[in-house]
Amino acid sequence: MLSQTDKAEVKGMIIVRLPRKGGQNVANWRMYAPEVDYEKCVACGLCETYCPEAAIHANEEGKPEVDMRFCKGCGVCANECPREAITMKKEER
Amino acid sequence: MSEIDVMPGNKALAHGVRLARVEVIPIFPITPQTTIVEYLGEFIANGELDAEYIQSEGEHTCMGMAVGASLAGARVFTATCSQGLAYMHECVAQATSYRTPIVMAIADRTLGWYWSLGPDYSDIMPELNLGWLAMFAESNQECLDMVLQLYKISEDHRVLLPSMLSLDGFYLSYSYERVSIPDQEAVDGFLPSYKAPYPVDPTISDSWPSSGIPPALHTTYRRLHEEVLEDSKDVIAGVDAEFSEVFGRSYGGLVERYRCDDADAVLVTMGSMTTAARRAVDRLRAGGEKMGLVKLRFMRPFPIAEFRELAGEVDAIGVVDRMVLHGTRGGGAFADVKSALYALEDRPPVMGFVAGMGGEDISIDDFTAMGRKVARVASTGRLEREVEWVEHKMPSGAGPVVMEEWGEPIYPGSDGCAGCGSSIIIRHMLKVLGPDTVIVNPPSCSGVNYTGVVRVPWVLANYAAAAGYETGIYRAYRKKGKADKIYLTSFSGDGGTVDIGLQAISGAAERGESMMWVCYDNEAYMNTGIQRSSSTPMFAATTSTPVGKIWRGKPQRRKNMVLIMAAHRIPYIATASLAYLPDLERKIRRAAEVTRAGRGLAYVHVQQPCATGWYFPPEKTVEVGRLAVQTGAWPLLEAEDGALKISVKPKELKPIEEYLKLQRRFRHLTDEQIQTIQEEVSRDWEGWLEMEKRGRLPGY
Repeated sequence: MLSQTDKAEVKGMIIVRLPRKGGQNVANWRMYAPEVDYEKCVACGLCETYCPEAAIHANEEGKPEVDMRFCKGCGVCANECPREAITMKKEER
Repeated sequence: MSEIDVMPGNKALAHGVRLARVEVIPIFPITPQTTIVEYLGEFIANGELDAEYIQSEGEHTCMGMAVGASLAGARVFTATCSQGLAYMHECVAQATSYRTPIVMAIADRTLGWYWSLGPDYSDIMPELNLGWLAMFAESNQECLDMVLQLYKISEDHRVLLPSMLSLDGFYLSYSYERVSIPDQEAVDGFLPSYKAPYPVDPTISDSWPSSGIPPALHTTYRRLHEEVLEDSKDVIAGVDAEFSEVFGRSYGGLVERYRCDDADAVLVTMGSMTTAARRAVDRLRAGGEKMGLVKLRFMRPFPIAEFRELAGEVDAIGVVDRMVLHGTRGGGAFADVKSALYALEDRPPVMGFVAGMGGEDISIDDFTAMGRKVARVASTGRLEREVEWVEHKMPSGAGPVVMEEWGEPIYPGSDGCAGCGSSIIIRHMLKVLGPDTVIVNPPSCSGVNYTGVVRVPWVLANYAAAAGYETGIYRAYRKKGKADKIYLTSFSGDGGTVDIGLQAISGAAERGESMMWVCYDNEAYMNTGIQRSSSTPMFAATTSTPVGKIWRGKPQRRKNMVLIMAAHRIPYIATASLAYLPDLERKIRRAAEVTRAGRGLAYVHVQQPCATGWYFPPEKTVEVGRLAVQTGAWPLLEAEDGALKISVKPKELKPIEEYLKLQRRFRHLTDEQIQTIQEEVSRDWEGWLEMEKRGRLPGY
């Protein structure tokens, strides 16, 4: 488990301090990686909305950029894409 | 003929319970105990054990069920640990005066403090002095064998007391060892069925156990109880001897001595750590140290005579504790050993070690170092430090990915499963509520997975008391004039809402605490490994309603929380879905407004399809949620001041089979079962339509 606790100035006390630094790199969880066909994409934003990890963000054209450090490869984005613009490709390792 | 197999401690223990022909098994899941009762469920589902299996809604009730069943004359088993054992506490205390010979397994796990799933004896420590027998196992074989021995000891009318069988979480509960499973016939010969001397059963008995006596008799009966515990020592020894004759294995009764002949110094250990300590003693012996080991098998009754005898033979005793009696500077076994020896005129120095808290491994090297220290005390006769703390450096791991700019209320890179729906709910909920939000979270998957990545205070609350924590926070804010400046909500699973948490939620609703209760409902106890809750839909397979030759999934309907909350006449009730996010966000916003206005409790119940627990591919999370709404399995409702509206009303509901067939928890369904579910869903849907037409929920 990712632990982001700090020592407090009170002896023996443990605290959480905001802002936190960030999440963990989970890229090695992934078996399949999303591949976006930007020709097919209509920038509807559903993949970003439904991404369970918040790993997808819209670029300047409103089309998805996947931060592969945080993508667990679940495939929700591909499944929800109304244009079938995202395909899940077996990860090469 | 016995059978040899390789299995984890929890399974070995379950085999013991099966062979003991236990009649009633109340359960409630908690890691690392849960698989014990899951194995028992499987035995029953497949007709290998004929027992009443009761899936309780919380440990307090669970222990009540155990005491009740034992009072009625049944042989009873239950299992728990940690927070669950603590929640049972008052019923645990009651079991002794009722003289109910329950056997309860404690798959030890630390209690409170800094949460961990790993073992130490913080959980069993507060229960030790309530009058139960308390025994600590070292191996999986000992777990199985001691279930049989403990029933025989506990049910002996010279004892007639409940017993705890402690097995260290993970080290025994989940670790595989070679285990010999005795033959049923031999067990039946060793352990006859339980005959309660005074069962609560007016058809066969005119007397029953009482727990109420005048204060003038309390001291006397406490003394008698102490004598019974003292008497139990002979029974423990006798049962071990008889067990050895029948099954060829003996454990030595209250303590086991290992290489103690001619020893100058000994280490005293408990439970699974003993195996590593044996190897350390071997190593020290090989190096010329005259070192021995005493395995403390029974903490209660405490082996006073055995330690006094030992004191006459050795020059120093080192006691290793996986438990701290805070405020005394040391551990519990250390205190008990010292106390046992104090009356002796000539006694060796006793040194205490506190080690392995929170489940940290105590290695052979650690024991070797401890052994050397005790040997030095023996040779010099000087005790320089009475208690030592065996501490290790934190292993370094990968830190978080540092993100300077991040606009979301939750960071990516959580511990949640791929495709987890609850993170979708948390993110969209927090988008609405903003940074001045406090989340109160009873134990659940989300607590494990998202507490480390959310960007608002996330307070982990005790399971049954989450609505209490939340109420307390709310009242403090109200007193300080902050109630309209901070949004306060739970983020609770279905167990924490519909089962163990319901009493506190009901209290908060009735008092009109102006706070939000958000339930994310994945329709089972997912955090402990998919046990049924009272929100599990009919006929779903879970690990506590397994499908077998006899069982065909959970037979009961789920609770209707909307109507339960409506009965409190609270100002806002809604159901929502992660597949309909604008609807979900709107309902969260409305709930927030209602509570900010001080109008009372706002309740939002969100279905959360769970790929892991419902057994569907992770990419289907949202699709399954959408189908739940479109088939009527999860109607989207909203009721402000009782005025009911169905938020999403398909022209025609899709057949329920379209929803069920995506999920492997329903793959065993017969056509008839599917038909039954369809009828239930259609009937409920018609009911909501009627209530909407009527304009309000009943009770308003």
